[in-house]
Amino acid sequence: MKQKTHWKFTLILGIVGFVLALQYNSMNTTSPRDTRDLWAIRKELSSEKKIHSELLDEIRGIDQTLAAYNASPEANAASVLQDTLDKLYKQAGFMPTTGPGFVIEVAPSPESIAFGYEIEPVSSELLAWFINVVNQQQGNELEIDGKRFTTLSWIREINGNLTVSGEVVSTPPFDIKVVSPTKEASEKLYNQLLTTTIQDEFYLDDLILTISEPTDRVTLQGWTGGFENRFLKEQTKE
Amino acid sequence: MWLPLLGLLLGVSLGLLSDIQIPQVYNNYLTIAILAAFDTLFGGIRAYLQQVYDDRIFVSGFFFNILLAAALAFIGVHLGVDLYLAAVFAFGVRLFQNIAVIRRILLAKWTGRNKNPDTNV
Repeated sequence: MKQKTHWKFTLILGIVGFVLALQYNSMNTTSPRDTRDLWAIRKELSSEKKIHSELLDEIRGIDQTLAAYNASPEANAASVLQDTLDKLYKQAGFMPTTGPGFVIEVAPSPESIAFGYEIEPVSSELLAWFINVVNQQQGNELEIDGKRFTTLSWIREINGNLTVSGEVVSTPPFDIKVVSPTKEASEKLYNQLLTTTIQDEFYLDDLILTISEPTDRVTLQGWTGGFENRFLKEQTKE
Repeated sequence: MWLPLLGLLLGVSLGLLSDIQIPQVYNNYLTIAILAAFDTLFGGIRAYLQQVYDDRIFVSGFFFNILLAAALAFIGVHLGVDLYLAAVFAFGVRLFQNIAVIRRILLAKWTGRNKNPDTNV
């Protein structure tokens, strides 16, 4: 009799243990199920490879600079250093840039002029969206109404005025200049801008975008406002 | 004594190895089922120690309590009332009571054995 009771307890405890383990399994599902299909994974892989190749490019560039430092005699080191400095300035958008690109004119729509609507500045959301469309391709540089848009620039509406890094953008019409790394990239961006809904979005705000054909030479001004350095520190000579 | 523990270990390892996961929607039912199972289990142990244990009551109570709790949770979900909380409360209170009684019986046995080392209880 006692033996039989033990077996029943064993069975019930076995069931309890099993259910407990199931509950534990269910509560510890920290990683969500991977529902990507083959093509989604391939796409992700291709974007990772792109990043990989960009990183390799960057490393190669830095290696070259390092080799130039090592190879050049003392007198020449200053000029290599200056080159690096210029390159960094250019990268940060502090130097004027010339390259293949196009000009976009933002102007009030003829209808709004005909109806006599008041022309309002472009909204910051719309401009941010436009910049996001341009930045979908890497390496593009922008100038909005004569103000260079760098990686540190910001767009905000201050007292009803649209500002880029604190400088007021005039009420339309004004020009936006885009410079791409290559002519092909410029043409690709041009076609992309023609096919996206960005023109319709501007039209909803009574503005039209006139995108000129890509040319070989478009010059952007450098950013003159300076920048706030919070993290970088000068290294002392050892 | 060791056989039930072996059963528990076997159940736990089987559950962990099987890697079955209960969908989030049914989690409430599982939780309450576990609570009901614990309640019956400790009730059984208590009855065994009080020498009023009955196999049929224990086994039927185990499954019936689990089903009742799950049914209560199910009805609660469909009525929009958290009825499973009632089950959690009832089982929780009984669980504590049962454990308290088990503790007292074990303590009484232990103190009795210490007083009379010769007697086998």
